[in-house]
This record gives sequence, C-alpha cells and structure tokens, in this order.
Amino acid sequence: MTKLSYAFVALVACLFAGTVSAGVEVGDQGPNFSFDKSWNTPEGFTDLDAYRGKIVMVERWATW
Amino acid sequence: MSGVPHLQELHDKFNSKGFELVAVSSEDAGKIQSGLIDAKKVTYGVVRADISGTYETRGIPHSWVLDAEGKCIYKGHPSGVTAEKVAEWVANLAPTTVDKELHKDLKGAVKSFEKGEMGKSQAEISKAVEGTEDEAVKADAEYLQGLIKKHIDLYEAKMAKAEESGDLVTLGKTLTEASAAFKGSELGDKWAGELKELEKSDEYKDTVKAQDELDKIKDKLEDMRPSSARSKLEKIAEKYPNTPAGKEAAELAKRYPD
Repeated sequence: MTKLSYAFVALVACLFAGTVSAGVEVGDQGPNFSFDKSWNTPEGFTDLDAYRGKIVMVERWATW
Repeated sequence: MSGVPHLQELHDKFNSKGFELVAVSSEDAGKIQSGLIDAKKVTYGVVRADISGTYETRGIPHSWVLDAEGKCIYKGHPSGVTAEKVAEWVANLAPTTVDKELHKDLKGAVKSFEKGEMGKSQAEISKAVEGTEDEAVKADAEYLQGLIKKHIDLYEAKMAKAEESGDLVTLGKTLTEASAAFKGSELGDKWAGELKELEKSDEYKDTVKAQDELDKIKDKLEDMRPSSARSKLEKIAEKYPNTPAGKEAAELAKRYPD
C-alpha cells in the first residue's frame, strides 16, 4: 500500500471511532439544542434547557 | 411512525404531571406539518432541529429521557419508555403547576407558586388565611402548602444525599436553587446561610474548580494525543487529589498509557 492509502485507512478509522464515541448515554448530561421550528410546545420554549425541572423525552423520528 | 399512538398515550397520561415529549426531526417543516401534525393530529411537542451531532444518528426512532436536572436516565427505543417507567419518574418530580381551581383569595399565591417563587407563595398563603373563617380558603391553602412541602422534601432529600456522598458540587447547586426558590422565608434564609458557609470552605472551592477544569477537557480527550491527554488529567489529579473530579481524573489518566 502506498503512504496515501495508509493515511486513508487511518482517516476512516478515526471517523469510525468518532461515530462510536459520540452520543448521549445514561448518566450523561443531555446536551442543549435550539428549535428551528416547533409545534405544541409550551409557550416561550425555544430550546431543550427550557424543560429543566420536568421529565423530558427526546425522540428522534422521521416521516419515512 | 408506528410509535405515534404510544407517544400520544404517554403525553395524555403524564403531561399534566411534568412529562414532556420533544419529538425531533430534521426534515422540512412542511413535511413535519403534513406528515405528523396534520395526518396524525398529535398534541405532544414536535420540533424541527438537527441534533445528529450530539445525540447519535444511527437508528431511528431512538429516544433519550432526561430528568429534572437534564441528566439522561433512559436511552433506547421509544417503546421501552413504558407508562410504568414514566409514572415512576414523574413521582419524583415536585409539582410546578396547580392542577385544580383554588379559591380566588389564593390567586396570587398560586401565581407565585407556578413561577417557582415558593417563599413568596408561602407569604401570600399566610396573608390569605389570616383572620379568615372561610373553610374553603383554609382547605385550599392547606392543599397549596402541601404542594410546596413536596418541593421542600425533595430539596432536603437531595441535600442529604449529596452530603452523605460528599458531592459538594450538587450540594452547592441544590442550596443555590433552594434558597432562591424560598427567598424571603425563614427556610430560604437558612439555606442561603448554609450556602454561604459552604462557599467559604476550601474543600468546596477546590471541588468546584476541579470539576470545572475536568469538564472543560473531558470532551476533548479523544481528540488529543494520548500523552497530552494524560498530562492534562494528571495535572488536575495532582492539584486536587482529594476531590471527586481529581480522583476521576486520576482514573481517566490510566486510559492513556505511554
């Protein structure tokens, strides 16, 4: 293999490692995020931190 | 989208008890509107946001449940969030809204309560019941006091637990929160005094500083050279050897050998 392809393999490995370590696990603090648009949310709530004090279920979904 | 009825049911049952759903999609707003809001008539919270960078992307649907402090207490398929589990979680929450109509003399007290101003609410309750012979006012005042008591109990339980485990960071945060909520009352003053004492102690100062320093580098460790990650962690461990974060840093440092 050429040096370049070694570099490529290393890069892919890094990307893969990054994907695996990412994400929120039980015990972690849930990162905040702001809403581009919202439906049925309490008035004035524009990001996740607004929900502190409640139990909040973040659900990722898609129409497909 | 087969999970919609399950989510709607959880919302209907537990929303008034402090459970909120935030269904996140990164699709077009128009698609969300027609595909979920119009087609399924859901009444739970739906938002458009891209969270793929922070909350993992693989597997949809996927869900996380965060507690009152924002800590993740469940991660997995939404169907795993059962009514039993949610009932248990919300039982640990202090009520933030008054779920029935109270006597009009207590209007101010209810308003303060829902704003989280417990000390003010307590004072307003006392004022409303002072010299009244109206049993309805008395009964409602007692009910509202009961809701406030739940906040006191939860704060006290949290403080006791933090003290017992030596978690000074949580103790400080709880005292800050509790003394602010009960500002103007005897209890609020007592907690404010305890917070002042705590903030004076060197142990507390070190604990907070160590936690700050560790938090700052924790997410970046993976991107550092192992030797650099290790030396940064060892520095924290050496500087604050008797703090939880210092000990955690010492443990983490072992993951980055020569």
